[in-house]
Amino acid sequence: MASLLSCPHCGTRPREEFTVRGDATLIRPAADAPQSEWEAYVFLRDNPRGWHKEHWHHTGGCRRWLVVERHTVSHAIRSVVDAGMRA
Amino acid sequence: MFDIRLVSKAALADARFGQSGAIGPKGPGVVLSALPETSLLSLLAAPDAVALLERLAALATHEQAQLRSAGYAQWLLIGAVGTSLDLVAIEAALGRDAALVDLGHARVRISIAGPSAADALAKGCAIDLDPEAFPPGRSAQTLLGHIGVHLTRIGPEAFELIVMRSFALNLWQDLLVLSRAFGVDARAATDL
Repeated sequence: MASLLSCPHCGTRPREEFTVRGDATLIRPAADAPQSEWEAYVFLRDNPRGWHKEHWHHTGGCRRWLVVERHTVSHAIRSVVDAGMRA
Repeated sequence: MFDIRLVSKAALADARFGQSGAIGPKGPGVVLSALPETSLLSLLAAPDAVALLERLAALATHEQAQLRSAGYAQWLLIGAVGTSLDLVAIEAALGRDAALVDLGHARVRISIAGPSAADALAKGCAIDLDPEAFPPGRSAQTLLGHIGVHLTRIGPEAFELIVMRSFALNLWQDLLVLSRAFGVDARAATDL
């Protein structure tokens, strides 16, 4: 259930405390990359069926950015890690 | 000549005080108190800070202040009533290892205590307030209803809430509603 999320800093908290930003796997283009690449990076998104890595912000708690691995069909959560501490 | 006179006023000056709900022979289940306003500092650790917690604990002892965890690498330092934290000394002691923000005028503290305090809070907050899971001394930044609060367990039946000043009156009203079923005595800061 995605209605509860285990924050690595705060423990189990309700989804109301979080803000979802979206895809956490995007790679920022180089500053001089062509405009089409920047347009894709800013505007175009996949809508995957299955496991998805997303940026979530614990707005109502520790205010850290987290990377949540979520199944878009079942809403199961596989992992939650601090975005600043990813290997 | 000024057209508007600025008047310093406690955030909860216009709050509803007194008893409400059914108070039995054992007294109120919840005692709600507005706490006197004090110095309050927010601290955020620099990524490379070393042994910061020990240094903060020593600072807190020296300043007769309370140190409370406020999330990952963040703390609140609450000055004693009637004195001001020595910001210059704290800044000098921490140097570049922590960012300081003075929140003294931006936050309001509310005490909620009594045999039913945890039951009243549990109606509006998702934290497990069982003493095993949330023992005295433990703090959490969370939501109470739609309002962000910093919650600390002070004792077995006592909690303290720290809330943004502009939400204090709203939170107070919410706490009164949540507590009414247990019988509540709401006290102004001057009654302490």
